[in-house]
Amino acid sequence: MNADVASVSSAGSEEIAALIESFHAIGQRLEDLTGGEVDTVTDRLGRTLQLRGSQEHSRRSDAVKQAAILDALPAHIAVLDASGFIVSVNEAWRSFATANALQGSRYAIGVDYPRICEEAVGHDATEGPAVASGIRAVLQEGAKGFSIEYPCHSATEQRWFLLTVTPLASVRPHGAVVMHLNITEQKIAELRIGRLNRVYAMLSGINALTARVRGCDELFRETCRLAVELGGFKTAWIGATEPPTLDGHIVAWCGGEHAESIRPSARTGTPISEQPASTALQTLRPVICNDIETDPAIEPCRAELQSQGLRAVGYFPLTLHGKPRAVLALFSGEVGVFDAQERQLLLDLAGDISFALDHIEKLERLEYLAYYDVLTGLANRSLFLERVAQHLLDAFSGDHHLALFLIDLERFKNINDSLGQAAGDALLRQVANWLTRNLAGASLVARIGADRFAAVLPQVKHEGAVRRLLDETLVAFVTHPFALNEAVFRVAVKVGIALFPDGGTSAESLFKNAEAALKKAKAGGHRYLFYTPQMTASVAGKLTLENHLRQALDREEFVLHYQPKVDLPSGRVIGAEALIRWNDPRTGLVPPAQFIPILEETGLIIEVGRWALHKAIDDHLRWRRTGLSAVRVAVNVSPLQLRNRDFIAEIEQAVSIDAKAAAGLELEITESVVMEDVPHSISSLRAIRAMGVRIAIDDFGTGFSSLSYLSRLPVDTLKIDRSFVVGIADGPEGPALVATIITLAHSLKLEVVAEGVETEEQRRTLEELGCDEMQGFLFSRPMPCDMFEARYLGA
Amino acid sequence: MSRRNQFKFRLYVAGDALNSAQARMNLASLCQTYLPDRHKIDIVDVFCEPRQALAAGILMTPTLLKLSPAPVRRIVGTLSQAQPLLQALGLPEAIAP
Repeated sequence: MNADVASVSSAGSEEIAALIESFHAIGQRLEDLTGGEVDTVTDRLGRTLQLRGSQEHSRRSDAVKQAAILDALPAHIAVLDASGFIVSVNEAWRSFATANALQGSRYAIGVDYPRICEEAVGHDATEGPAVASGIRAVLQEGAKGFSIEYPCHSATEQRWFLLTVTPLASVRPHGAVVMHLNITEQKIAELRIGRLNRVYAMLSGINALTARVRGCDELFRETCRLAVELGGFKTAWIGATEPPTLDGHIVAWCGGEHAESIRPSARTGTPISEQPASTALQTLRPVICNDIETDPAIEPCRAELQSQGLRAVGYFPLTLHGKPRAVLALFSGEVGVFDAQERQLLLDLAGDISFALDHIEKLERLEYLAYYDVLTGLANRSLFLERVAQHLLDAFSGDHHLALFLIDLERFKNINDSLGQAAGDALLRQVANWLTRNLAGASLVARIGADRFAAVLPQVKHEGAVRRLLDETLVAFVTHPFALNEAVFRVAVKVGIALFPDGGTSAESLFKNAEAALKKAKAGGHRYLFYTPQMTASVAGKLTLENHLRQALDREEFVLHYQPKVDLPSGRVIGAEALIRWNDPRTGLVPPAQFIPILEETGLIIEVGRWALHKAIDDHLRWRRTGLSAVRVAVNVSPLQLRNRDFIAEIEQAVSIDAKAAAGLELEITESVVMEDVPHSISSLRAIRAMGVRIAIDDFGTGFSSLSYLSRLPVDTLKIDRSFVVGIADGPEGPALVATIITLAHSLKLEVVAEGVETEEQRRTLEELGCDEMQGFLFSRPMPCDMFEARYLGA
Repeated sequence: MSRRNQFKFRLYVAGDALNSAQARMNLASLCQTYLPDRHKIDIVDVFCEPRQALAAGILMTPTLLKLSPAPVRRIVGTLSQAQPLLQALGLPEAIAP
């Protein structure tokens, strides 16, 4: 525009002056004519002219309006000319520049704005060059606009701005409007939402984890990982306490430097009790510090945390059954992250983890119960078989044997009965300990029954090595003094062994065969036995026999034989012992030792015993009816019968057949059976005696009667075991033992019967010692009923 | 209300210029007071539609045309004096007693 003016000549200037004069006059005249009420006039060609008054008013009001609008805006606005110089600013721009006086003067009108942006330095000015090039793109390259968010933190507050550059399209060459809008509030909300979203993500990750996790270690490790990876924390660790001491150590860690030295404690009064993590454990409340620099609670570890660039920390206690179990520590590089909402979320999280801990503990407990014996802490049968199966895989591939032992404590029940269950339990624990420590080479000892243990030797060279080991170990075991109730006990064991591969190729078959060997060892009085295939062969034989025995009962192949009891010194037959015999149609009469044990094992003895009882009573009653001398009949009672809860009722029913039946009946019960469960025996025997049936203790001297029990037992007769009778002639101790038994029995008002009397010498000695009755081959073998009637009852 | 009594105005203005703005306000308030629901106002900005103004022979703004009811009347100015205006518009019945 200046250039146009320069080309105007001085003559033209005068004419211009004159025209302006007349133009003003015309304008004034028009204003006058229209009374100031008109804004524009139009000539005939439609050219509109705005009158001066209206023109000035418009100009004035436009400027005022624009300034007012610009000044009312909270954004800092500056108008740049085409070269980037600030030509105008609004009130917000001015006051911001004044408040930030340090740089303020540099942002005033007339400044080359892109240039000072470029030159800006300092940690908050990293966006300067980007802003400069953005403005230039708008001014010079016709870009449609430019915007950028940038932080501009002051000493006292955190601030963020949004800068937008908009071209001034109506001006040519165009300038631009630069606007800075303070977006701190949105930005803080955005950051907070972002952080909360991270915490939510972490929460949902950890909750998903708690549903599938099986162990504490994994739970802790994964929690820390998720806190750092999803939760956006710089560092996370978990310190767990040890239940007995309440002292803890770090068990999981993620992010940052690993500080081994951190040792939280739930106890008070230790050097580490003042640590914030310890405080959280002790109070069971979170310790939260939103600014490590100023919070006094963080004093003990401030320097260390600050050196790692950490600005805020929260310690959240994790509990199990309401007691401190662990502490979760979360560290952030930002001040103030633990606001009320985040704190609540993290508290919920700590609750969820605590719940998971409880769940895991229950699972572990269940797993323990499923695989371990609670009393001894040893593996149980399932775990034992599982482990044996694992060892077998090695044994298959390697060139070695494997040995499976079953170990039975002898007479454990006696100890349990006489010393009480607490002592029995204590003994089992001591035995478990001893076996675990002293069974050299055994990888696993298990308790598989009340008084039965098992062990596996995963690698053995040959049977000889196992024998040597057993010989040594068994000697050590039986001589080991077990202390119970301040007394010392020695315990004997029987062992059954199965060797892989000859004694079985699966855990189950080895176990079963070791059981067979153990059974054989117990029956035969061996300390230990290795399984041999013959054992199962005899088992197969037994099965056939068992079938035959069942049929025998149905087909009435059993018979009773009677052996007389002779009174001393009269020599009269005053009773008879009824003995079961089997008349097998295939082989003839079967010796009792061949089938009585099978009857016991299979439980058939209960039925056969019942038959014998009825048959004996029938015989006795028949003798009475037919005028024979009706001597008393003694019937043997097996352990199984005595334990059977219907036994008493059965006897009652059997003797109810006739008023004289009870008086003609005696029951013989072996000493060891009576002693198995003394309280039960006493009550059963009492009930039987109350019916008028006599009771004799059979095989007396072979069991382990306690004198105190013997005096309380409701019995009538003691039958001295044949082994004493056989030994009666052996030196001076023989008769002394028998004499003691007879004196004892008589002092308890019991009759004494000697069994197995075979020689005249035995008879004479027993008579001298005051024995009341005798029974044995010297007088008569057991014989069929009709023969017995004919020979002794006067038929 | 009958269609016959409908008042149709056309007001020629010069953008937001002061007199034009006043005329617009005055006309609106007059119509609101005396012709409620019986008027229609058409605003023509001569800066935007100079041809329409020229065709109608409008030489000055603000200029009000009463198009109906007949006869057509033309009034120039801010329309700030109500009584002469009502007279000019043929609305004597609206004049206060």
